[in-house]
Amino acid sequence: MDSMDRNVVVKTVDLTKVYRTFWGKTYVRALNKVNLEIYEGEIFALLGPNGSGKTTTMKLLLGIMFPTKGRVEVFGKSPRSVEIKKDIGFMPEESYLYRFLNADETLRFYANLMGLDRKTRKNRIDEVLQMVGLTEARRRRTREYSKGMSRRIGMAQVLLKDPKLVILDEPTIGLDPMGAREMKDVILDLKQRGKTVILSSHLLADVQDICDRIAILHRGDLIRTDSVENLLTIEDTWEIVAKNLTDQTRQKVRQVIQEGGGDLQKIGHPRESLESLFLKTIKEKEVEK
Amino acid sequence: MIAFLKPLKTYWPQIQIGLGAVCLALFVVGASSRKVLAIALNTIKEELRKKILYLLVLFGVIFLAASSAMSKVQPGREGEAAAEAGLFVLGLFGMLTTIFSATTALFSEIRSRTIFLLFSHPVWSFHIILGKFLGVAGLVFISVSLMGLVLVGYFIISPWTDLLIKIIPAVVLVFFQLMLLTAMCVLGSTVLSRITNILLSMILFFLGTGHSFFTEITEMMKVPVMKHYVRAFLFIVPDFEKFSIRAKMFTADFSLDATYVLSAIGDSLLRAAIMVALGILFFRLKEVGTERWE
Repeated sequence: MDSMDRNVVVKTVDLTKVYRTFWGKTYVRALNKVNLEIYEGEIFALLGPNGSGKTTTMKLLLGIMFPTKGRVEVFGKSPRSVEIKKDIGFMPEESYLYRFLNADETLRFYANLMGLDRKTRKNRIDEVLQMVGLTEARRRRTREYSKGMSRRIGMAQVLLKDPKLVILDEPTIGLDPMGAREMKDVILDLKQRGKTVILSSHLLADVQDICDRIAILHRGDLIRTDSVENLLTIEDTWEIVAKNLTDQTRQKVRQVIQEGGGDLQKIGHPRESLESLFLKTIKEKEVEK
Repeated sequence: MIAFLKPLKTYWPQIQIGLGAVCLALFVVGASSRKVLAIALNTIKEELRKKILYLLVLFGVIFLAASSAMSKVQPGREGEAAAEAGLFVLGLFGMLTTIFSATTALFSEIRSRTIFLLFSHPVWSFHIILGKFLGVAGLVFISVSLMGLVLVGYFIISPWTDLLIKIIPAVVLVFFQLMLLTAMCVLGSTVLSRITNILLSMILFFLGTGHSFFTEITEMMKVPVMKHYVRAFLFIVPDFEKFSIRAKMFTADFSLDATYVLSAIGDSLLRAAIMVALGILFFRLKEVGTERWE
């Protein structure tokens, strides 16, 4: 679909954020005139090294921070507007949890902030705990949780809201490959259900796997924005994938390419990704058991 | 102008009671919001699971030791001495519990960054600040009630049961004194760092408990400009002294009547409401999460 036909969920115009010292001196320019449009139903990734402005962008989208210059709109309104908060789900980089509460109490607290009635609240909590695989650990205090479990409870509070826009800061960090795959499946499921997802990640393979579009930030500057397809396609190179080729046929292919003036780079067997191999091996072992 | 203010001064206790009732009604309406209640209950739950309760147990032991010892060192007024000692310990431990909890409540939410998740939910600054205030006030109520019960229980089994008629209102006033201190700390936590907030709260509490002494000193000042400034400052500092009646409640020239108690409660509610309102305003303008960027 053309971007012109799609609803803009997030828009930033010359978004600038400067951190200053107590005395008003510029400490760091975290974002510099960033212009972004994020559309309904897409998975959008913010990429960049540490200190590039990813988390700052997310905090500005949540209305936790205020822009120094420029503006940011979420669903056409200021992110400070409480009205739009019911449609936004946020999972921070580290799952910031109330350490003395258990999973049930944590989710009940957030359900109360959303104003859910008792019956809906109970059903939704049971449902999301099952979705993130924490039903059995629901009575354990969150301070006893592993990093992976904390991420899951963080995701559970997002799912509890059933928001239109989901903001995920490093969603797969700290998860084992199985957990990371499950998290990616949850994100893809959100997209299937028409949700808009904005995520930041250092794990580029994860981003490549699931995202539609990417913005690359560097020291507060937005240096590239495009679809994963456009960014990763090498325009002057072609890839032909075929099965069951004989030596003779491969020779012929080589010859045809050379005759056509092409520069053959490689003919060989494609390789599986390590993640895919790992998941397949674990699944096979589980089936055996 | 002064003539106009005269009846205001005459009926000030009654006005305080009326304004206090209005503020109490506002707090009750605020607490009826599910979001405020959720934040308040969460604050109580979090704080109760910390180790404050151990402090209360420690208080019980200290109280019993202190009050029984005090009753022996002042022959002829054993009961009064025990009551004074008990109320002193109650006020002291209550103040420490209040300052610790009230300065931590919002600060820990910011430090542990759970505030980010709060902000991603449909809550106003009003819900957060009022919820935090009511949560800590609830916690203070629980701790003062527990300590008060120990104190009252001690006097029920002692030979000085007649003193309870003065001790119970004194405990109630301690609660409202600490509620006002809670509001002050919550307001402080919207603009100050935790350490500054603790120090400033203690200083203001100290100034407030010696309000009449500092007022007298001010009146003796020779430089008029200085006198006005100090007067204005003392007007802002809550008069914590009026809630602390342990030293004067057994003196002949002090009458502990309902108007005194209710007007003090009204004053506490009114000042607390103003401080919470200011806290909401400051918190609305506050930018959190600026300590780290990526």
